[in-house]
Amino acid sequence: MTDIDSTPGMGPLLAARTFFTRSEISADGRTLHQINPSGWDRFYRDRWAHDKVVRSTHGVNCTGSCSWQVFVKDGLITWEHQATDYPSVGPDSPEYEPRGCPRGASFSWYTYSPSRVRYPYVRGVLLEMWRETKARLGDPVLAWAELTGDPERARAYKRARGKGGFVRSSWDEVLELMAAAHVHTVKQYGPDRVVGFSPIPAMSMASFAAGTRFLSMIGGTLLSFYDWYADLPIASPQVWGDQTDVPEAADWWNSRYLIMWGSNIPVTRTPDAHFMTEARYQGTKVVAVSPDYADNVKFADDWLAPHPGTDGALAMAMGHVVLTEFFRDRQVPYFTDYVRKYTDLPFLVTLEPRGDAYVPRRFLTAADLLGDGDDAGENAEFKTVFLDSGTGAPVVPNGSLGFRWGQEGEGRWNLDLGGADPELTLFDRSERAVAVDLPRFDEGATEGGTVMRRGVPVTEVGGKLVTTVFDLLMAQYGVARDLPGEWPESYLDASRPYTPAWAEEITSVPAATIARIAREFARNAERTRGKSMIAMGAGTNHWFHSDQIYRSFLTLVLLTGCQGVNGGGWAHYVGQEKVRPITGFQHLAFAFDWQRPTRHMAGTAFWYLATDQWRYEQFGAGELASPLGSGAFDGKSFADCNAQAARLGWLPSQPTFNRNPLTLADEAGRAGIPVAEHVANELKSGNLRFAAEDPGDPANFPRVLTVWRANLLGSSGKGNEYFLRHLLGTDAETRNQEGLHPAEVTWREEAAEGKLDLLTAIDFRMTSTALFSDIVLPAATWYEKHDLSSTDMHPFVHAFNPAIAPPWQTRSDYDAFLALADRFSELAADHLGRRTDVLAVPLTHDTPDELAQPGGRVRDWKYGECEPVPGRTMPKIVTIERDYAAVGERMRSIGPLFAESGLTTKAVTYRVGPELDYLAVKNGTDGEGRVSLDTADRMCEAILALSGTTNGRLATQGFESLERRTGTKLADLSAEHEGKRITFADTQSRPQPVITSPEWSGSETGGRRYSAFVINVERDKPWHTLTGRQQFFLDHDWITELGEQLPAYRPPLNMGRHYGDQGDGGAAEVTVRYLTPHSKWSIHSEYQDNAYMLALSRGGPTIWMSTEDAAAIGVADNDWIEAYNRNGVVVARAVVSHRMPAGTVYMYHAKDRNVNVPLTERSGRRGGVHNSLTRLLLKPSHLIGGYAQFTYAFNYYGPTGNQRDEVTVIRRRGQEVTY
Amino acid sequence: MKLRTWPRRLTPAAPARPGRPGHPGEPARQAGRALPELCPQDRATLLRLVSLLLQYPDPGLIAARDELAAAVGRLPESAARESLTRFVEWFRATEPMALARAYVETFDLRRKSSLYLTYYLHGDTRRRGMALLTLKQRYRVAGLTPPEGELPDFLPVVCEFAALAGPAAGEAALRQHRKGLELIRTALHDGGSPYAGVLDALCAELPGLSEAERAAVADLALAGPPAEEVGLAPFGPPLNELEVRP
Repeated sequence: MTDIDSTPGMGPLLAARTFFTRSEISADGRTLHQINPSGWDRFYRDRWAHDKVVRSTHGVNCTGSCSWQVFVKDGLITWEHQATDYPSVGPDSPEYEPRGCPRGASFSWYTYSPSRVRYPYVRGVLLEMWRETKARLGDPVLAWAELTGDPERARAYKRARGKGGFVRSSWDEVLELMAAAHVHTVKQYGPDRVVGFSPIPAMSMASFAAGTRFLSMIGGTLLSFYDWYADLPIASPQVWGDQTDVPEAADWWNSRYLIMWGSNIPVTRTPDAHFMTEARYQGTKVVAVSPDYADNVKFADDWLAPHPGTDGALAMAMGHVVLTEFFRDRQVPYFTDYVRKYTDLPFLVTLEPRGDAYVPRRFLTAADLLGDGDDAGENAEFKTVFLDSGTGAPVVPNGSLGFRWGQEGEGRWNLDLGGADPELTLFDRSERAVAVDLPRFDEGATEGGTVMRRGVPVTEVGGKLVTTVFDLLMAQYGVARDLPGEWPESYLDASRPYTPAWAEEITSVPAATIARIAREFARNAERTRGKSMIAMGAGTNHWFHSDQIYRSFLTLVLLTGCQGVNGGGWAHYVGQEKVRPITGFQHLAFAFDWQRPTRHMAGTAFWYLATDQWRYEQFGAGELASPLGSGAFDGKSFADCNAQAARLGWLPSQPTFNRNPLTLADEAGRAGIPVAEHVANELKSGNLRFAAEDPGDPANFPRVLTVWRANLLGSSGKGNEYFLRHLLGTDAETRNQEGLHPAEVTWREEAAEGKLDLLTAIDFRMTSTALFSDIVLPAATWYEKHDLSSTDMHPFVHAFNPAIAPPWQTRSDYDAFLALADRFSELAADHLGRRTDVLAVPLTHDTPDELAQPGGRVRDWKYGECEPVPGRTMPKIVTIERDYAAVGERMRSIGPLFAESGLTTKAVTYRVGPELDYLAVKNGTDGEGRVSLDTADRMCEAILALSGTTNGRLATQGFESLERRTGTKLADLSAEHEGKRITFADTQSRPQPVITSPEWSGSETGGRRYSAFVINVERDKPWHTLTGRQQFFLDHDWITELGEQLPAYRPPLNMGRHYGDQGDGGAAEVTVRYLTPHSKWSIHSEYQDNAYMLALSRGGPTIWMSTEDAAAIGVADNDWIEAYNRNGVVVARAVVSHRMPAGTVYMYHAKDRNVNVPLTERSGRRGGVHNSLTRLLLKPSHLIGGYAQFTYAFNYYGPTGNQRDEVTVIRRRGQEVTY
Repeated sequence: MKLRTWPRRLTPAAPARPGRPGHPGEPARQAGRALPELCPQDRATLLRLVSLLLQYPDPGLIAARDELAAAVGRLPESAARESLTRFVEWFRATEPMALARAYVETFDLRRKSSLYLTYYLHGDTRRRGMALLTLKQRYRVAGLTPPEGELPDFLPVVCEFAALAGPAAGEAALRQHRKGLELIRTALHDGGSPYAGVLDALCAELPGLSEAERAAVADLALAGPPAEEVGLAPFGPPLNELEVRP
């Protein structure tokens, strides 16, 4: 008998180095005897018998939120199956069960795939220098300071990014390095230079929260993702004052007319697509609008194929038809009743003379009627006005923003008209009419277009010339009545917006078809009282002017009374993934139990500066302005607009100042004045500047970035090559020329390269982001951790559970960040201790900050137009005491602020005393008696207990609190579930239907299907807008400047004009529109790299092109091509298909660069990803804030990272490729 | 089931394909020299050495480089020893950081030369779970407890098991995954990795490939590991013995 370790020939050093642990071994190292040889047969017979079944799901970036059963045998995941136990949606509807798709079904082998990240990795060149420096200096923080402070060494490891050279490290070593980098950056540059990026919390809330909670506690910057992904439909906050709220998929079944507009439902909403096909069995007409023969088209009764990016023209023409036939030629009581009560159409707008005509200016308010003194009552500038149709007198109805805040509004913030009858049009009432000039964008020398003259009926109120929003809308859409101006003759008049014939010339959709579909849509809504629906997707939402495209869609569902009705309204499914238990989630994720607020940042604005894409502009904001504007954008660059937005308190700006915010409170203390006053003084004197005013100053660089649950550089990083060059400081392929110098933002001759000191990716796949990271940490997969999932597609909350423990050295995000927090705290004890942090907080949505800047008038303190007053004309200045040594401990327990201040979502505050008592028992407590959050399942438990959707007591409490403001009945909506509490164990056992709650606008009461804004329509609860109604008219100065007060068609940006011919000439080339839609073989970059999906998708980078374009450059199907423009270059195989329209190519979104990407012919370096050809462009109206629904909230407002307006050159390349 | 008797003749390797020079990585025995075969004890040592040398060069393994070299030196003269000797020379002469980089690049980040054997037979498909389970059960039947922190098809685990359990049952998995081993070996030679020598040593002691297997290896190298199939077959029980039997 010998020990297992003493295999002959091996010495003592290797004694312990064995995998197997128990046995009786023969002298020659073999097993002594076989144990029960028949055991093998038994295994064979039992091979399909599992040891346990564990419920989990797939979760970061997929709306499916499908529950799966994972079968485990002998500690191995052996197979998986769709869960089939969703609660029934009732006897009159198809069910949710089963849910799943081929992508999710191929997930399980990520667990054991050779491509899995199994160990912590650091690039060798960095690790060697780190070990040497640390060994020499002893103190890790000083070591990091020295290493990154030495330009030679810093450059060495930054240049190596993306070039391999990883070695394994250990968690201990890596965490120490990361902690040192964090501590040094906080100390040297400021906590706002530490940045975290993780998207879409709904599909793994605790994993998201782990990192954001840590960063919130140290004062780090948290980047938004919804706007950055260009998934946020800016029209939603503009029209509704709501981020996004949409029907669940089962409500498609209730629709009677369903348009899929740029939304490829079978591909991108696979588990829900059956509701669309089933709806057809009960007679629902289904229409597809798509430029290509997309997969969803085959399900449609009608297919409209407008040219890409012209959807707005199509929708405007449909609006023209609806207004003509259902408002002018004939009135439909259901429609007129709806728009008068639930929209701003009857509200009065002032007109201003301009030249020999007028232009619309602003909403008339109570202040115009009565002055803004005491007579008018509080918030008079935020109370809008209509005329009563009976008396003709102006009425200031309940429900506008002025009633939402302040004493007088108590019980009056509602849509009850109290007997008043809003007059929709002045056409029959007033003899007087004037000409108005309105913008049009389909012609003209700049993006700002030209002017069209129309007319509106007017009257005078409070000494001001006014008309109604409805009359302006009729003028904008060109629906002729007997009024001044130039109007289309008929639908067939192609010369004037917005007739069907005009749209036919732009979209290629026949005018008669446009009229027919519009008529059918509205007629169906009339017959069914609002059951016409538009499911809209990224095909229409990722354009520069998507806000305008969406407003033209929303016009259709609002005019026809479809919004807030089951089976009707908009159904926007673009990355909109609903955290149903939102209150508990967001308060814990942002550590609002310990301090408030946190450093949120608008993602696009951050990346635009951090990656220096702002240096490459060829035109300024003035290019976009309407000739009807005041010239406010003349000479301004987009970076100037962004800097102004920062200093006026519109958007957050992180890093904030050109000074470490930890020093500001100390300075104020020494000067003996309040911090806010000190900051305002310093800003005014110019001693202190916003970092956004000088992004090239090394003091203003972001320094440490951690990316988890995300693939920034393979998926969402628009302008990929600029990321590589400026943020990372490594090889990049852009050949773009630097462009216009801003007027105000400092231009430094030498652009920075390698701003970032440390990039860490936490993932289970070696994504493009991981390949460029300095540190890669191995994450647990979705079958290896506890978490929560919810979605807008179905009304259930369900759990992730570990089928197996995290294998190799992997850890869950939750445990990884706890460990980082611990190490950070240890190092911070000496280096940081207790400090006072100073935050500049933007004026915030759903707070009284909405009243800060009346009328959306822009007044800039920097130019003496007003004083810098924190919270009014500039950001609020807030101080937070940070105990940096206590971060690890605080991560693990609920802090005191929940008990002291409650939890507030959308201005409703929840008192949670009983919930904290319950959690103290359920989760246990720490030494101080605080509720424990030391494991992910406890975090999940707390999220559920502290949210109205999952805790009936809080839902009811919230409604009762809201009732006091609205004066209407609401609490009965959740009464049926007041005693219901969904626990984590419930979500582990089965998907749990959520409770109707004021956190959202729809209702599940009585088992009905969720549809957005049902509560508003049925319970007279106002929308969170200026008028309290759904708004067609917007009156912020910058929106007026752009000519976008009303819905309008704005074509895709004219890249040919702005950038000229981007081709090299020589070889046969074609310049085409470059679109990056989502594919059926991946969810973002996930799944595209597994063998299953590779086999289905041709297995590498492909670009789909039309037969015409392919023929023009001699490309056959499967040939290698190169696509290039000023931003970068991509190598791909051509998929030549009749499905594609000429002039447009598709490169499906987010194929990682490590999946069969060859070297380019142009540079000999590795070809880029889909975002190598894109670049960011900021739309100024996305930067605004400080006024009504335009005030900022995280993922609610902010510039979109749109990418659809781009063009590329394509040529056939040599067919021999090398890797 | 009749077990093959030990020792037995090694099957001669197939000749290089017509029109192509012999692959640089063909096992040394192809040179035609008649080298003696290893006795069972040396064979166990060899497998143990292969198991160790294919593990990550962490400080423990780095510290044991001399010891490993000595163990290689004590092997009787054989094709395997020649291959390992060349490898160990490089292994001892190379800086630890360079070794670590080479290992990560070769085995952690390159799917073509990953050390997880069932991947080559089953790819990222659901069949792989069953294949992993089969191995694990096999270890248990042999009275050995498989490791918690590593998959049962990790080549160093498989080799260690072979060393412990002996050629008949112990090396069954190696024989079953002979094609996968050949793919790894080829990929290492193609990539110019010194680790090719370790696979040469291992393969030199295993039965050679038949013509059919050789063709299958060529196909796999071209097409990659198998993908999930459509149709009914993937949802039923395994189609043939190969998928569940060792």
